[in-house]
Amino acid sequence: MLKRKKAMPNIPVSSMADIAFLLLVFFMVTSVLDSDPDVQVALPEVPGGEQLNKKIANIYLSADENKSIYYNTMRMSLPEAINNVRAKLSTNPDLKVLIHADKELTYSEVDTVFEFLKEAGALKVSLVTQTNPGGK
Amino acid sequence: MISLKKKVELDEISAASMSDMAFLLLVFFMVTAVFFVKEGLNINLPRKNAKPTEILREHVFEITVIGETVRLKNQSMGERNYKSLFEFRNELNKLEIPNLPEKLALIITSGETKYGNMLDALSTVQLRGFQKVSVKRKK
Repeated sequence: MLKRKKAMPNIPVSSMADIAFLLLVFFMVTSVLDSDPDVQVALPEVPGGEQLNKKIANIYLSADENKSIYYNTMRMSLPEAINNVRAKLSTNPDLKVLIHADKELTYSEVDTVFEFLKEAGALKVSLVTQTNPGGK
Repeated sequence: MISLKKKVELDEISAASMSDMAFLLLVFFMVTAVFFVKEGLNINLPRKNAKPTEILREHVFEITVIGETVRLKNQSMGERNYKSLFEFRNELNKLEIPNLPEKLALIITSGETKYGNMLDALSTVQLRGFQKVSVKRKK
């Protein structure tokens, strides 16, 4: 009597690499690498923050003894930072300026930046708060 | 004569490890990816030479932030004092304010008011539903 050879069940894995590449491309496109400057800014913890889009320019106001100001990742004076905002605004009128100000600063110090921004015509501003890890 | 042709070996690149590399990179990007980067309160600054807006006094809610304390003043409701921004938030949410879209929340800060406290007050009035919000700095 001839014994029939039993076919072993198997899962085809040939398309696994294709799926992996597809996911890889997705993550490469959607991921944003952290580009914050190396400066300590204690952002205020307040509820009601909205997610911010990417058409942005970042200004960081630190509460250190020098009251350092950063435009994106570069340290500079406030007028220089505003000039950069003005230049970016000419190519992108919908530009939103993100203010990363330390909660220990006085409001008058932050208001000075607002006055400069008003002069530059950058009226859309977002006051960055601490991100809630659990979402809204 | 029988000639034995030697089979020419073709050069080839092994692609067997390609999927391993893909998975490795995939894991890296999954771990480092940040989907929502930042949160914040959106505000629109007034133009430099914008004309002041006239508003009825009874529609104005003056919110003076002094250190951690808050004073709320309104023509019809009178004056109320809160010991902390937390208490102010709780009490404001309980207040019944008719015709809220017409009302203006005027946040008044002194020279010493901390930015974090001002932002807390701003967030509170925005969440309460005030659509007209103004911030004034006392000189």
